[in-house]
Amino acid sequence: MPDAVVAERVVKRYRAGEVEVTALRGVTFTLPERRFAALIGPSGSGKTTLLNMIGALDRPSEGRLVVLGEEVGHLSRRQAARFRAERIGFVFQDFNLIPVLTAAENVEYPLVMVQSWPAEKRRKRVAELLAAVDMTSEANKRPDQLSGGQKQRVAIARALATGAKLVLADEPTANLDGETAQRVIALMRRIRDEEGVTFLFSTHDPRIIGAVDTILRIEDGAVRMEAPKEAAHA
Amino acid sequence: MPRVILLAARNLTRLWRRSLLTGGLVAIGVVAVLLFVAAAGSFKAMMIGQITDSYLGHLQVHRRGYVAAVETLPLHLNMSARQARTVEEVAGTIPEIVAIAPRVKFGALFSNFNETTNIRINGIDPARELRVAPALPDRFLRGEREGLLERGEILVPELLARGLNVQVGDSVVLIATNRDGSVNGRTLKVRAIIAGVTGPGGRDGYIHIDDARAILRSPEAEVSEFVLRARDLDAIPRAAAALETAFAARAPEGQRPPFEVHPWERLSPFAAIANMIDVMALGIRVLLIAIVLVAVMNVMIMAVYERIREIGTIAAMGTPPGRILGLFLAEGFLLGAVGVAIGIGLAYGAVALLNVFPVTFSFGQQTGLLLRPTLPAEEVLLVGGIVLAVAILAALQPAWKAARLDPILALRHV
Repeated sequence: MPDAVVAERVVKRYRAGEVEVTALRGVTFTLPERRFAALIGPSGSGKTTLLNMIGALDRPSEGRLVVLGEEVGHLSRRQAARFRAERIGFVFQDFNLIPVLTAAENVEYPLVMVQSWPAEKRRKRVAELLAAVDMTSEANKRPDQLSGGQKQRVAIARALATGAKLVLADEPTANLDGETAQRVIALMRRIRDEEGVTFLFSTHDPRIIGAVDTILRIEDGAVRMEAPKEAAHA
Repeated sequence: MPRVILLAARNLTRLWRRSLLTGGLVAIGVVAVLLFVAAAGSFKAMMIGQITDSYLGHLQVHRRGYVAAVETLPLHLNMSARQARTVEEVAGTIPEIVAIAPRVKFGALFSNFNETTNIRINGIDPARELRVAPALPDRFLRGEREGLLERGEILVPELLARGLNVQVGDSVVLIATNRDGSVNGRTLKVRAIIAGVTGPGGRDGYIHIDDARAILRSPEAEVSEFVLRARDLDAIPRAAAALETAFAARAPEGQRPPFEVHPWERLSPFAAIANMIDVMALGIRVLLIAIVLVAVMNVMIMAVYERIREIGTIAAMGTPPGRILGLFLAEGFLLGAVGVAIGIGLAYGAVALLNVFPVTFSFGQQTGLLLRPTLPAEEVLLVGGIVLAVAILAALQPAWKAARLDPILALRHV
């Protein structure tokens, strides 16, 4: 099975005022495709930094980072945008839906503004995705008319709209109640099973940690792969 | 592109009161400019039409030095018959000139047999005068317009008629000093009382050119000035240039031509007012640009600031920077377009109202002038174009900032 992410001695430094901070110190790991994985670690350990680099939003200072077969460290701003548009889906803690658009239009957004799909193909894809996240009946509601769980389901459908093979989710259940969080996790897991999409979560949420098949623990700027049971006991 | 415009329109509805307020501000600016242009433009066109069509003509040709001394209407600076023929010949060769009429001008004493006062007289050829000043009959307040004037008749300016209590049909006497210093007089019948108009010659009397020459005992058909009509107002500069070139070509080598050509602007002080109106119109347009620039830029800067996380989200999804730029430019454009649409609608409404309930005004000694504003389509297009261009320009900086935002920093924004 090909790998979704290959990190080799990835280092990330950035400047905080006068001080140079090393967020990641030679991270090395491999995440195969179709995994349902969690990136865990204490606050400030570099989870978001690593997720940003995997999502081609940021570049490593050193090392090699290959995502879905593409070495993302060398992509220009424009190439990175295209790579994200075609291959990566993002799910955010605060859902980040566009408030003036309906649920269907939010899902449709990347197909119109990021890629230019023809109208008929677009409508079909949106209908499929809304059905997949069980939001067909709420298609015409705006985000302020949806519950937190519904918003996150719309966000997941949006992340998958352009056929992303890797979904990066930053604390996707942090703003959801227990039952809703469980339903959203189950939904993502089903999508992984049915569509072969790799999910990588940055999370503290034990409900996610208990549901994933791979744990990437990040500590002191380094990553260690763990089996879910080890993480649960850690 | 239509989807970008649609999304931009949706974005403007987020804070619809703010968008409406900004559009309203732009609309007020557009209304102010269009109303000013409509009113001032109509006033200008009316006055220029009155000045050129009812007495001054489009251009005048004089013997060199005549205009500089025009206050005394110097008879010794009249053109000789030979010079007058030269001017007519030259004018006949210039396609931009459609009519030419001679005038003999002089100062005289005007008497109703009880009282006497001064008057400036134009001796005219009625048929030819009507071709260069077709609106002269419109100035008739009382008396027969048809044919304008016969030999033995005089058109008396209103102020003078009122002052001396002269009526149509009365007999009056004109007495003038001739070039040789002798004095001559003639009794004339008042054909009509004519309204005065603004500017030099606006309060002159008119008699037949043959009567004028008879009073002055002219030995030949001398002419004080030629009045010319160009094909239209735009053709005046070309006609003037052609006349000057032709006169220069006929002048003896090394000498200046004996004639001077004066477009109406150089003869009427209203030209300065017309220029001032143009400058004011320019000023008010600059003010409109400032209003649009400040209003739209303010809203767009706020919009970008308020939506930084959203910009980060769409950038993270892979939206190309150019499309983010386009989205915010479209919002600025739509704000301007809303203002333009409302403003043009209101301006047309206000102009229509001003035509249904006309406003009267006074200018100089003219009273009861009717303001009949019109909105030229090209002015509406120009103002609309300026506003839309400025609205896009105002949105450019915030839009550029949005397009260049680092998605990571934008997503972290609280």
